[in-house]
Amino acid sequence: MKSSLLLWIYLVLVILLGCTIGMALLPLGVVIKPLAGLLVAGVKGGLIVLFFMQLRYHHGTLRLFAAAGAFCLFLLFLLIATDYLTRLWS
Amino acid sequence: MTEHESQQGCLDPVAEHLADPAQRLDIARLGVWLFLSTEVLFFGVLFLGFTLYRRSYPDEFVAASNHLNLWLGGFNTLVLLTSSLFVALAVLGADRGDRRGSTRYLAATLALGLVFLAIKAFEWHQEYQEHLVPGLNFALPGTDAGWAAHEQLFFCLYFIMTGVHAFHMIAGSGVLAWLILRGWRGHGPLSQTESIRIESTALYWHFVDIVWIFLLPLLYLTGFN
Amino acid sequence: MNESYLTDGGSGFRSWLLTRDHKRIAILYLISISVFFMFGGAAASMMRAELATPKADLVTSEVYNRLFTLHGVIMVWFFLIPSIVTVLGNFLLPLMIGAKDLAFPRLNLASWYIFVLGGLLALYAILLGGVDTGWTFYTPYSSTYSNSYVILMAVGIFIAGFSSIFTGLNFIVTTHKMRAPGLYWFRLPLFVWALYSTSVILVLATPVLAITLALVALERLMGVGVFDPKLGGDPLLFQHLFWFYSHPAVYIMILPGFGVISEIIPCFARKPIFGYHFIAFASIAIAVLGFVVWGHHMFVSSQSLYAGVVFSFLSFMVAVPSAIKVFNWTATLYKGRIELATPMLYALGFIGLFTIGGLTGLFLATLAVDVHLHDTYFVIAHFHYIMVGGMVMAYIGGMHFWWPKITGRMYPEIWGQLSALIIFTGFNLTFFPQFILGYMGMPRRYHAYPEQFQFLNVLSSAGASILGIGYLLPICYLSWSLIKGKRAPRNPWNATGLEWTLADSPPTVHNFDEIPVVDCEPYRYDLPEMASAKGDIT
Repeated sequence: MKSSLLLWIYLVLVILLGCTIGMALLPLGVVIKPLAGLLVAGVKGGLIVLFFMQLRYHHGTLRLFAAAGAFCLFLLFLLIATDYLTRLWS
Repeated sequence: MTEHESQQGCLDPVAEHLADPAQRLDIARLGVWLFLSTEVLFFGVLFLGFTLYRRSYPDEFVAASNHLNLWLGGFNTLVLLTSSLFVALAVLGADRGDRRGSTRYLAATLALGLVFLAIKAFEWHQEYQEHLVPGLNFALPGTDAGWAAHEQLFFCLYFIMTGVHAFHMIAGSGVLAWLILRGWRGHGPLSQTESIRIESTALYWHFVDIVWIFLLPLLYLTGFN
Repeated sequence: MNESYLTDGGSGFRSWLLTRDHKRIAILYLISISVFFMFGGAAASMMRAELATPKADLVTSEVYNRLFTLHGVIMVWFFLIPSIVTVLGNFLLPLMIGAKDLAFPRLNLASWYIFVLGGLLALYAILLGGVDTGWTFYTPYSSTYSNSYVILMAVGIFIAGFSSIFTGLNFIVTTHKMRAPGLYWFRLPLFVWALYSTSVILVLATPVLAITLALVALERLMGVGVFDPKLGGDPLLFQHLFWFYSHPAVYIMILPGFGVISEIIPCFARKPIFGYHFIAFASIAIAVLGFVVWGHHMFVSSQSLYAGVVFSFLSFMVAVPSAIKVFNWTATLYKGRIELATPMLYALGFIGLFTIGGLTGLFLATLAVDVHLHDTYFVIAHFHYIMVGGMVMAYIGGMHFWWPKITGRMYPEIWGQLSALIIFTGFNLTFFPQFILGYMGMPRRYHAYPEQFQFLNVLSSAGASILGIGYLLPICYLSWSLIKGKRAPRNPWNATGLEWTLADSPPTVHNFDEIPVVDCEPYRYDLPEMASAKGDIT
C-alpha cells in the first residue's frame, strides 16, 4: 500500500466533509437532511475502514469479525423498531 | 495494563506458544477488530437512543441542535480526519520498520488529537455558559416546560455521546503518548512487537474517528434550516 | 512424579497471582466464583427461611428486596456467567485444541483481576446496605427513586462485564488461530463449539449491558437522563436494552453446560455422539437466535402487541436448536453401554431437568399464557430449572468429570453418586412446587403470601435445605481428595480428546511436549479399545 493512495483517500474525505457541511446549510427538509448526512458519513466511514484500516487487503475471517458488531447492532435496531413503530397501532 | 498492550499476544521471547510471526500478527489483528466490534455495540446503543428520541421529538431536537456550533464541529471533524491520515502513515512507516518516521507521524496524530479535545472542551464551556448542561444548569427561558424537557433530552444525549467519545480520545491519546515515548527511546528498526502495537493503536484511533464522523451529522446537522 | 502446572513455575502467592498459565488462572477463577456462590446461596437460604411462613416475620420488606437483589446479581454475574467458561473453559480450551495456552495469556490474567475488582465493588455495595431494585434494575425506580447503592453496584457489574468481553475475545481468537494441525472445525470437541458460541455472545451482548448500566448510573448521579419520563424519556427503553443483553446472557450460561453434557454422555454411554454436526450448528443457531428474542421478558410491559407477536414467534424458534440437542443426547444414550458414574448422573439429571425448564419456557413464550404467569413463581421455577437443574448440574458434573485432569486426584465415587442424588432430590423438591405456586398466582419478589400457599412453600424451603446439603458435600469430599484422593492416571475414564489422551493428569505447564497432529474424528468410542470406561469407578 502506497502513501500516495492514502493522500488521495484523505482528499476525498475532506471533499465529502465539505459536502456534509454544505448540505447542512441547504434547505433539504427535515427527513432528507439527516438521512443524506448519515449516508455521506457512511461513505466516509467505509473509506476509512477499507483503506486507512486496510480491511480491503485482509482475509475473510477478519472482515467477518469487523462486520459482527455492525450486524448485531442492526438486529437491535430492527427489533426495537418493531416496538416503537407499532406502539400506537392498537 | 492498557487495553491495547493486553491485546498484543505473545510479546516476550519466553512465551513460546506463539512462535510464528505471521500467526502473531494475525492474532493481534483479529483481537483488535473483535474489540472494535464490541465498541460498535457500545456506541451503537447511544445512537439508538438518539434515533428513537429524534423520532419522538423532531422539532425540539432540531431546535436544540441549532444551539450547537456547526463550524467548530466541522473543523473538529477535519482535525480528526487529518489525524487519521497521519496515523495511517505511521502504520506504513512501521511496516517498513522506520522508527523515526512512524514516531513523527504518531506525534502529529497526538497533536491533532489534543487539538480536537481542546476545541471540544471549548465548545462544552460555551454550552455551559449558555445554560445547556443537563443536571448542572439547564434552562431555556422563554419556552414551555414540555418543550424545554425534550430539548434537555437532546442535550443529555449530546453530552453523553460526545463525553464517551472524548473519553475514548483521551485513552487513545494516552496510548499514543506511550508509543511515542517508546519509539523515541528505542534504537534501530522497529521490532514486530512495536509495529503490531502501532497498528493496533491506529485501528482503534480510526474507529474513534469513524464514531465522530457519524456523530457530526446526527448531532450538529439535525438543525439548521 | 513429574512436575505439573501446580508445582512447576513456583508455588508462592506471586507465582499464582502473576501467572499467565491458563490452567492456574482457571483455578483462580474457581476459588473466586465459589466464594461468590456462597454469598448468593446465603441470600437464597434467608429468602427460603422467610418464605416458610406466610407472614413477613423474619425480615422486613426492605431487607427482603435487598436479599433477592443480592441473590440475583451475585448468582447471575458472579457465578453463572463466569463458571463453566472461566473455570472449565480456561482450563480445557487450549488442551482440547492442542495449544500451549490461549492467544492472549496476559489478557486472560487481566480478565481475572477485572472480574475480582468488579466483584469486590459489588460486595462492597452489599456490605454498605445493598440494592433493592431486583437484579433487573428497572427504571425509573433504579435511576431515580431507589434509596440504595445502585451506582456502586452498577459500576461493579460494568467492570466485571469487561472481564466477560476479554475472555470471550480470547477464546474466539484462540479457536480460530491456534488449533493443532489436522484439527479442522468439524473435528473439534463439542465443548469447544459450545465455548465458541458462548464467546460470540459474550463479546457482542455485554457491551450493551455496560453502556446501559452506565446510563442508569449517570442518570442517578446527575438527576436527569435518558430514561426519565419527566424529560420525555422512555423507561421501556431501559428494559429493551437490558434484556437485549440479559436474554443472550442466559445462553451464555447454558451453552457451556450443553458443551459439558456433550462430552460426558458419549464417554459414559461408550458411543460416539449422535448428530455431531447438528449439535455444532445448533450451538451457533442458539447464539444467533438468542439475540432476537429478548422482548418475551416484556410482554406485559406496555411494549407494542405486534412486537410481542414477533418476539413470541422468535422465542418458539429458539427452542428448536435446544430440542435438537436433547434429541441427539438421547439418541446417543440409546443402545449405549451406560455406566452410571458420577458425571453421568449429573448429565442424565441435566437432560431431564433442562427439558422441563425448556418446555416451561414455551408456556411463558405464549403471549396469552404469559399474561397470567408473568412475575409469578412459575417464571422463577422455569429459570431455576434451567439454571440450577441445568447449568449448575452441568458445572458440577463437569468438575467431577475433569477433576482427575485438573487436580491429578480421584474423588471417592460413592460420595459423588450420593451427592448427585441428594442434589437431584433437593432440587426438585425446592422448585417443582414453585411451578404450581406460580400457576396458582403467587407473585415473585414477595416475602408474604396468602395462607393457602404455605404448604407448597414449606416443601420448597425443605427442599432448599436438602439442596444446600447436596452442595456442601462435593465441597467437602473434593477438598478432601486434594490431599487424600487416589492419584489419577492420565485417562481414568478412557475418554477421547487431546486433554485425556496426550496431556498428563495434571498437565505440565506447557500442556504438550510437542504440538500434536490430529488425524481422527472425535468421539471414537466405537473403536474396540474404547469399549469400557476403565478406571477407578468403585
